[in-house]
Amino acid sequence: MDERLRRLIIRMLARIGGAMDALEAERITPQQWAAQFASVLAQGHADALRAGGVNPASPVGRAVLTRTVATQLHFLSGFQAVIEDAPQFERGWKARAGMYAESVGAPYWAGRTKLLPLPALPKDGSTLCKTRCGCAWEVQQLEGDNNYDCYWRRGKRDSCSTCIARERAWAPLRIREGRVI
Amino acid sequence: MGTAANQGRARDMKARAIRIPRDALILNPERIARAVENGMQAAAEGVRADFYATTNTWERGVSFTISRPGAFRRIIGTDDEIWTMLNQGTKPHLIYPRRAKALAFATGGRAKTKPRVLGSSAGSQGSTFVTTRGPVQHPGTKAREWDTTAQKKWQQELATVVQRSVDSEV
Repeated sequence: MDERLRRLIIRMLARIGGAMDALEAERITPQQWAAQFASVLAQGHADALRAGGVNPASPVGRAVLTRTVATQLHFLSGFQAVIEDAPQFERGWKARAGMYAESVGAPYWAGRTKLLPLPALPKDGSTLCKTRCGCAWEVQQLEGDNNYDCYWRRGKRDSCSTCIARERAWAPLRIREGRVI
Repeated sequence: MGTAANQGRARDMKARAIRIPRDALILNPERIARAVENGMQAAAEGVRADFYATTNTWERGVSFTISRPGAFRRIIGTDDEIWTMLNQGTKPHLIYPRRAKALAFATGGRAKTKPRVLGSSAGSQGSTFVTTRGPVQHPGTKAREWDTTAQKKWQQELATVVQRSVDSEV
């Protein structure tokens, strides 16, 4: 996995872990937990977009962030409902919460791929390995205006059918004069 | 966008809003059109890769093509008969020996593909071999429904993919 992304995920896991510990110890209510979790997600996605090379405060940066965070908040509201309905803290929640950390891959790769019109991004959930995807895009800028060759590079431990097929099909995916061909 | 078998279903899908930045694009129809075309082509590439994923472990190569019957339309298809047969499934039918005097087949194997899964695994041939002179009742093959599965998946992804194309124009 990309080293910078790995560090972002580790940082997210620590923040999420803190929120889960506070919930387990009943230092915060489920509503406070949800607000804290949402804040962690928003900050994490902004950090990831910045690490990918796009200013989160720019118009396009804000647009990307709005979407990626909204997607996660949608899932989070379902998670919150489960927690509010449960009589006590369940161990499996920590693992479930940890999966949200992987979601920073989407804004990170959006930035790293220069916001090119690509079919999918690693960790965006469109592969059979979902957010555990360790693949990467390698973008090669060519001479001329908006010419790119984009290679889907499979992670060392990625063996899911989608990733194998993408590595074969998008080797490269060609963008010429701004058009996917 | 549609797969060769079920273009009609696309009409049933709910639309999701795509945000077009007012200052940068709204007065530039050429760039909006390019963004939508790019989104369509990118999504078609996604469908094609998913179709390839269903044949990763096959010994024979299967190719899939993307055609553009018109603006903002894509058809992803193949002329491979086995893939098409698995995609659609078969009804129970009798099998007779044709060139040989008896039928021989293995049982207890595991298929490489499953219905509604856009992937493939190693599978296994089975270890119990049966030989018979008479006809055999084949139970039929469950339709894999790869075309409808991919279409459902990418209709949901389409808004995201087109939005990414719009963002790339800003």
